[in-house]
Amino acid sequence: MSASNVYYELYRRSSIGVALIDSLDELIKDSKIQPQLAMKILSTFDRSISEALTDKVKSTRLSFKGHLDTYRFCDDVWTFIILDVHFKMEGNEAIVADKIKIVANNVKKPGEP
Amino acid sequence: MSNNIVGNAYRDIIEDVINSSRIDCEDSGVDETTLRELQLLWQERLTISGVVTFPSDQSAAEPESGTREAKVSCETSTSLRYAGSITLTSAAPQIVPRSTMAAMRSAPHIQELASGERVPAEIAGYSVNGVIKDVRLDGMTGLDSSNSTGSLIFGDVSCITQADGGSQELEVSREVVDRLLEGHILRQKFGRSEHATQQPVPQLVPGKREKANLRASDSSDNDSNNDSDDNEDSDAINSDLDDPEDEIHSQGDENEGSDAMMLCLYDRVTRVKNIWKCDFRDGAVHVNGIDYLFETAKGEFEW
Repeated sequence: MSASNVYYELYRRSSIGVALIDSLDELIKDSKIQPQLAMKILSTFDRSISEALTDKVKSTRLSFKGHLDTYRFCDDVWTFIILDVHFKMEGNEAIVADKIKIVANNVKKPGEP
Repeated sequence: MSNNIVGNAYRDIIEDVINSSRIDCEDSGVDETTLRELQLLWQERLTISGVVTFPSDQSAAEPESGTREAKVSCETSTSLRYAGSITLTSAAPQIVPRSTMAAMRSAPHIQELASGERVPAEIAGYSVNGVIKDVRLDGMTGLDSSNSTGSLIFGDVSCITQADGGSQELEVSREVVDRLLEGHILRQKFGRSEHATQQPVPQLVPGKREKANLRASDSSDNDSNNDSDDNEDSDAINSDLDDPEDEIHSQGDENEGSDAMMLCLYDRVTRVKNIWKCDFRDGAVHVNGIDYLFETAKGEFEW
């Protein structure tokens, strides 16, 4: 299987991913679907959201600053915990958060040059 | 970057996943009804969480107010539609969480009633959506549950379905939905005691209601419960030698769902002395209860 067919499971922790997992759990609990089918649907979700973020979300840029509280690099994954974060969105929209956790996978997937 | 872009992207992702999973479902012997139910549950959870407003929620308000809700004033119907979106949460922040809790609490019970009456799952799902709208109606406009206006709204099943997106191919029996929703309105009006007069409920339902109560309980309650449980566990496991900072971080990890989070890919991470500069791309950000998506992001942190 080529590396291009493997998509990160990172986005399962997003709001839309958690909502999907909860919905699948409910159907499994009600014995309407099998867990194996749920795993296939989640894999389909991984592909769909990765492609959507790559192809459909265009020209949306943001910048942010803050105080780096924790950093970690393990298994090619960076994890940061930033405090007192100030986001600057497009259109001069500013958002402030006390704390944010950033989990970032390598843009180059394993096996890619 | 606006939340509307996120709504469109999420809708496209949901449709793509559902359409792509159709073949897998057929191979596994799962019918179209269950797939639709998954889609409804998924969209419902996103709408209830308020992280995004689906375009169908907004667009449903304008065409539907003039036609299918002719029996109700336009203003009332518009407020009902927007009750399902995040726009009115800022107007009545105290009401929506309670409504959401009541809706989620009653939703499994409504589904159970529907299943007990041998009603297909999609009807139960639509009944759930009608219940959610019902709760928000009572909370937002203060209408008496015995008000005919309220009953008219929820007797119109097509209104319920339209708010949740197109699903014209499913036929819904108005009488069944009316019966289910009347029971819900009575429970709302007279409290839990009214439940004794309802048809007997299987023993599984109390357990499900308890579980729905756990799910529907306020996030702060969950946090406090988790914290109290964690304190008991931490007393049993941790020693006095533990770094107090580690305890703060571990509690933060458990409250991960409610905290701000960014999930993305990194292009480059550099550091000069204590200044870190990062280039991210293709990310999803959840901050202050709202979701954002970005193509590229630049971060600069001081350690």
